[in-house]
Amino acid sequence: MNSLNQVCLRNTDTDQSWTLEAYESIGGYSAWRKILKEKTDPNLIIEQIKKSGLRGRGGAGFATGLKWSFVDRDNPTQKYLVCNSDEGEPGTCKDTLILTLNPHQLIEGIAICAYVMGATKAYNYLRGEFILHYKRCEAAIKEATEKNLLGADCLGSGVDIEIFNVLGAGSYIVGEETAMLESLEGKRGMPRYKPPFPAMHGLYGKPTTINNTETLASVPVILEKGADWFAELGTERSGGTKIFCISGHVNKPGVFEVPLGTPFKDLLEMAGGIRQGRKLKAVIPGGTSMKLINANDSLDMKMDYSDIASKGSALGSGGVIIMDDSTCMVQALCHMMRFYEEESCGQCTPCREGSGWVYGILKDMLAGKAKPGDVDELYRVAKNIEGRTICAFGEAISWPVTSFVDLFREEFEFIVANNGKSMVESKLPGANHLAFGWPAYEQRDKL
Amino acid sequence: MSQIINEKMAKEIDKWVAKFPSDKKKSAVLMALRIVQDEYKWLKKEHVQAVADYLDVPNTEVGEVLTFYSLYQQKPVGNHTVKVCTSLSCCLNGAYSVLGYVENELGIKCGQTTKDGQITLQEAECIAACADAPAMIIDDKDFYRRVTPEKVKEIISNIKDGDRP
Repeated sequence: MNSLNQVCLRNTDTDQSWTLEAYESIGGYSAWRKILKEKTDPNLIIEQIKKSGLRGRGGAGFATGLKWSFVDRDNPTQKYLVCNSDEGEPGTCKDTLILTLNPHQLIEGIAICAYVMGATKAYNYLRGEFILHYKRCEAAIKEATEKNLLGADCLGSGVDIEIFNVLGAGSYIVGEETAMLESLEGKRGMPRYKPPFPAMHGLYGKPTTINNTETLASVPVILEKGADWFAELGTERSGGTKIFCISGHVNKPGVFEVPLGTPFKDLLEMAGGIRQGRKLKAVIPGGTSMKLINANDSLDMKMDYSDIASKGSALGSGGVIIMDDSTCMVQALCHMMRFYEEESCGQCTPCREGSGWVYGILKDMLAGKAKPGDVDELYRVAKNIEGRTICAFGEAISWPVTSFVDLFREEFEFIVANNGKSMVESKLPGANHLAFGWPAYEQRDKL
Repeated sequence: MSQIINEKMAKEIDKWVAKFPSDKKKSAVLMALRIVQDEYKWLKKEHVQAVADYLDVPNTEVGEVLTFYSLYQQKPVGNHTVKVCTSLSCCLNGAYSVLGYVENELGIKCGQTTKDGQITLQEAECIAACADAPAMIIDDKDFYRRVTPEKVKEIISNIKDGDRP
């Protein structure tokens, strides 16, 4: 187990881990102090990040070093860094831990990235419910500013960096980077058309870099321990560690930071295995926007970008949702699609209309009102959204629907042919498709 | 000073305005609405106008924000909101049983407010507590994890006692 929690969660079991004192006691801010003292060439830092293999941990998995090289730091205009702490991808609960238990490491990561960009101002955008998280981050900034690790002329280096924590107001799509910029400008969170890309035209029309919380919190450790150390933790094409949140039908759901490439089987074991000895049915590996993987494919899967991609899905945000054989796939998908219908921002027709159609057909299926041919209709509508929207929300509807139907078509056909009776319900007496299997705290499988 | 935004609220809003460039006061609209809502529990037309006037932003642009984000209450609600997360991970762990239990305890359906005006019950979508499912959130800030019927009872009675959780 010594490979657990080495980067973003490295200090989470220490006392009062969120204080400056605790963070400095494990070497915190040493990378930042070194940069300020030596006035490290930003290009060297970018090289280190590239070498480390760090990729965006928010969902898209874009190479971080490459992203950092897009902003022209010699452009004299105001530049901005935005940290995306609007954690909201269903199944994902990792940034919440960094924000509450290790805020200083995030602040250090933000400072370093801002320095590389030549940005003097950075915003840390937290979701509106993260009030405790906000307070922790505010306290961390205050402590760091008092020590002049932030603020004007940091430690006499001539570098100015101000970080502001801001709160959202409840919107899934604000997690999309350009929607977040709109939200920061005090508008509806509607994704922008790209190009122009944020690196040229971002917040208030200024060059902007947007990174996820886990990505930025990884940076100080990479610089402290070396790019090679980090890269070697993971696999050849997926450097470092990743935080996985294991939820659903497992005995001990939890959040684990493990080296990329860790076998899914090991992760499942850390989470105590499938609850009460039931059978694994399917896995969503990276939050509900990603494609479903069936039990067989998952069991020899390694948790890294390329191996999950080879199974037809993606690592996404690291929200791993486990479903056992008591799960009605039609109900599970219908429920996911209710969310996407609700959260579609509405600016692109395929997504706005398509999300409603998809949800409507699924509701009809459960209510016993579906017509023959509705499974094909569902598939066709979902497939037609893919690639036809401004942002990836279109795929977040299309991918789950098509993969659920591809893997479990017989369940969809069954419920249509049997007036809303679920195939699971008919196979497992006592299972009620409306209850998604049984509540964890009820020992229903003893029936 | 408008009657709606009192001195204390104005001070709080100003703190948010100060986080953004001086010509970008509009960026503070999200939090200004939240601050006003914290005071009045839900947002009426005159509250939107007050925020618009205070930040010097067109009323319609504040209205656009109000109707987009889910934490804003556009209809009357109780003094406290109880939201049960019904995202997939929570559902797989019995979120609807929890919701049903809360409905029974409070004697209301989801979306309604108790007769004494204390509690409004709503659903929440993914509150980033998936590994601690099923989860609830009170007043959009206090998280309750791995809730069971017994825990729900305790949480609810604490709110009823007026003990703001």
